Amino acid sequence: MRELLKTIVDARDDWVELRVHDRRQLQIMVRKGVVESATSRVHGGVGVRVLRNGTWGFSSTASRDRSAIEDAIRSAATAAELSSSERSEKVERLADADLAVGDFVTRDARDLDEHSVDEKTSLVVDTERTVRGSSESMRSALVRYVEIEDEKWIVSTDGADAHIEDTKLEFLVQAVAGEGDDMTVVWDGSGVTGGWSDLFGARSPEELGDDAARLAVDLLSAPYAPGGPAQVVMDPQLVGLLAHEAIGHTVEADFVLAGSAASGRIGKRVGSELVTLVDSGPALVGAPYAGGIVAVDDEGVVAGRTVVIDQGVLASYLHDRESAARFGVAPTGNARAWQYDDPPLIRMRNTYLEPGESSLEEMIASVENGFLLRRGGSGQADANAEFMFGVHEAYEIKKGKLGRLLRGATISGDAFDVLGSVDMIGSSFEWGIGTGHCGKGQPAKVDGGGPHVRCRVTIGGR
Amino acid sequence: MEDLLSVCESVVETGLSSGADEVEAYAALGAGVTVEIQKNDLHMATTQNSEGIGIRLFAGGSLGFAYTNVLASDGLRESVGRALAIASAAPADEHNGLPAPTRIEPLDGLVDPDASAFDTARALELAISMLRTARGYDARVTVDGGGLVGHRGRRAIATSRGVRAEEDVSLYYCQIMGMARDGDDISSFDYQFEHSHRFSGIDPAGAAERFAESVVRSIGAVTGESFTGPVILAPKAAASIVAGPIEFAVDASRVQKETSRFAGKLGEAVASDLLSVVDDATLADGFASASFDREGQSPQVLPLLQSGVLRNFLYDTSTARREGKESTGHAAGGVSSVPFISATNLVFGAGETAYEDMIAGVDRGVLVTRFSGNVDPVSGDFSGTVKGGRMIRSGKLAEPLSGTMIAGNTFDLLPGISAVSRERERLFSMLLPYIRLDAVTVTSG
Repeated sequence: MRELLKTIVDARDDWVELRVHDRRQLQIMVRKGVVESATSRVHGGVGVRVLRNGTWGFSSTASRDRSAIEDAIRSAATAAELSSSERSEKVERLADADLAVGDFVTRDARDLDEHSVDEKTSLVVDTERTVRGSSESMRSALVRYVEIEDEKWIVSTDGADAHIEDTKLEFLVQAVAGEGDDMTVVWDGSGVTGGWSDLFGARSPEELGDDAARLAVDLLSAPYAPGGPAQVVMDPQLVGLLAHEAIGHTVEADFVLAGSAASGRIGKRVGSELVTLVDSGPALVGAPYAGGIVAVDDEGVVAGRTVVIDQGVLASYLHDRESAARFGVAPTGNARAWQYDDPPLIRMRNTYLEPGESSLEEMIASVENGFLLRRGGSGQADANAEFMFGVHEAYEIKKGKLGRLLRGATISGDAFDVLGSVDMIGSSFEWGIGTGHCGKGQPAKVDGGGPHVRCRVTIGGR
Repeated sequence: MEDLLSVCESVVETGLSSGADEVEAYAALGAGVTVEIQKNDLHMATTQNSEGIGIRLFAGGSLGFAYTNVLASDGLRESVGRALAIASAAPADEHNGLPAPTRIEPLDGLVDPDASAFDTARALELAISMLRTARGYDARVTVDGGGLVGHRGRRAIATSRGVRAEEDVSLYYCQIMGMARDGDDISSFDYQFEHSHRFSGIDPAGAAERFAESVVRSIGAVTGESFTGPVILAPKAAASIVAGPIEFAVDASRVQKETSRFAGKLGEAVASDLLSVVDDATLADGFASASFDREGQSPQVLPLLQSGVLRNFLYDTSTARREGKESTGHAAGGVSSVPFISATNLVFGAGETAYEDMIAGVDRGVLVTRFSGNVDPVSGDFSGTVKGGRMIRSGKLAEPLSGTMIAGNTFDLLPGISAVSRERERLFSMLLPYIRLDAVTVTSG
């Protein structure tokens, strides 16, 4: 395949990039005893980008025939040609990059072959039944298993020549408990890059189901969290959510150019000295199977470690080759496309805070009056770094001692203010947002995490 | 174009001969052009060609589904195999099954006879004209994003129960979004959207003008007052606050999952008698109009609310079978997933009050042009920011508003709707009037 692609690309005058992407996907979902989804998908083809007269054109084809690919190139070239007279801001150049050559595997996932469709389906059905039946207060449950297997070949005019294999797995549980009109909903799960043993590396399916069910029931009798500014200890999952959702999007170079809160702030302090925020292709801290691993991005750039915030100072944005050239820096390997027929966009990978020195016990003991917050849920974050997230579990901390479970907490604020208030950083690390996907016009599989951190936020209660 | 129906029929054959009890093959192919605008500039033009088939089968009462985007015969055989493997692993469900055929009448006006004249050059021309019109309207207008899409394709379905249908469709739409900026004064964000099944039926320059006029009008917004009083929801706001929860609650799968506030209320008044809503899959030039639904069932005009009384829920085959009923033809979705329920074109009945008279009838209230916030379709609770809003004083539109929030509960407020306008606007697949709600909590500052 690489030979064919190189032959085609070498014969062109334009800058051309060919990305063959074959995806196989399996999804089994059971809700309240009913199989809602039992789906196998195969979606593959060639995505073509042409840069002509400083203007992009994109086309795609499901065929791997030389003639079909060349037709797609012509179509993309025509699109670029016709648009170029109207496009004001031309792409002057693409930044030089460490372009990938060779074979890349994000993580060995061969143990997946040892588990049949039957076994996967039964696991989903059985886990859902167990969760739903675990207590009289359980109203319903949902369990979802997703498997995404990708194989790509990326070849470009200026030297990308890579073959990439990647597997992403997910096991998600939702538990809904209720009493009268009162209802609680808890989501838990595992989202990884790798194989079956990675998916259940931290917790078994039984433990995942059990954790979700128990919390849903416990929350029924928990009082509501009070509102107001508070000192909190946030868990790794919540830290990961904040890093990705509230900070991460503001440093994507396309949003920076559109005027995000990070615009014009390189070199300026955006957090306390304890905060180092990284977006990385590989999993360099914690478990090696983070859910957002990228070995080579979809422009063929080797995906490394990008320090976005260095000890509190904004150090780098996240780039593709076009934005990197515009900013005069090296590309960071953040160009990602969901499927072959999507053009690449700047997306995050694994976004996290680096761990520090303090233990969780120390951190809790240091809080006179505050909360331990665990696991973030859905919410919103704006380009101006303002955010609001639901928090699954909150615990009072009074005089350094952990107290009651509280429900219905939300946290909100300005993400950079929150980073500025970080005054203790934990020593252990966990990934926590690998299930689901990030949305930005196209989905992307990402992860995020960190240590526990002590900081100040505004709690929204009732 | 490929004989899509034959491809579907041969997949049904293969499925049956490989051991499935029932097989449905739903396929689509097409080609299109997309032109994207970003940050006041042309961003990128894209051409697409796609094809795909979704194979849903039942074996021993269990569901299996496979999708592939290559319609070559060995890939299709392999896909049938994958679907069967999944079905043999999944537990049986007595409600699984395919519908019987219904009579399909081809709906006119879904494909532009001149579709082949719409190419990349034409798409670029229209997109540029849209951008230039917006920017030329007023120097303060800034276009964050937008674009133009033209697509032409064919869809086909064949099943082992004898469903057979196919149709050609073309769809063109344009969108423009952004704001106006006057020094430090940044207006509300707004957008305009237009669609048609004929490319001569969209007016990108007209959309651009309406967008520009709207954002310029909301420069100089001031913080309003806090009070409880009447709000008039413009169509975009009505879409979020009224149409959204109604659409959610009339979905029979949600009634069955106990998340619909309309459960058990057929035949009851759930809204003021001024409100009537119909789901019309046959609507002329409707965004969601089609000759057959995702399961090949014929479309219909289904009353949902008739003078405030709840008349019908939306069903596909699987939800209908759970109640011993027939599908209402609301199976939706594309080739890559099993069908799910969706409304088609949600048409709100025109009211009796002229928009001018609606404004004139408010002594102190708010015109909500757009709503940005949370709407919980299960409970009906909504809370969020008024965008592009205007204060209404003594029956006249007054100052543009910023920092104004409204909150309430849709289902609780529906019975109190006190006016519905004669005028209606198309917004995606909906046709919406202006709606007056009384006693809404308005918070400013």
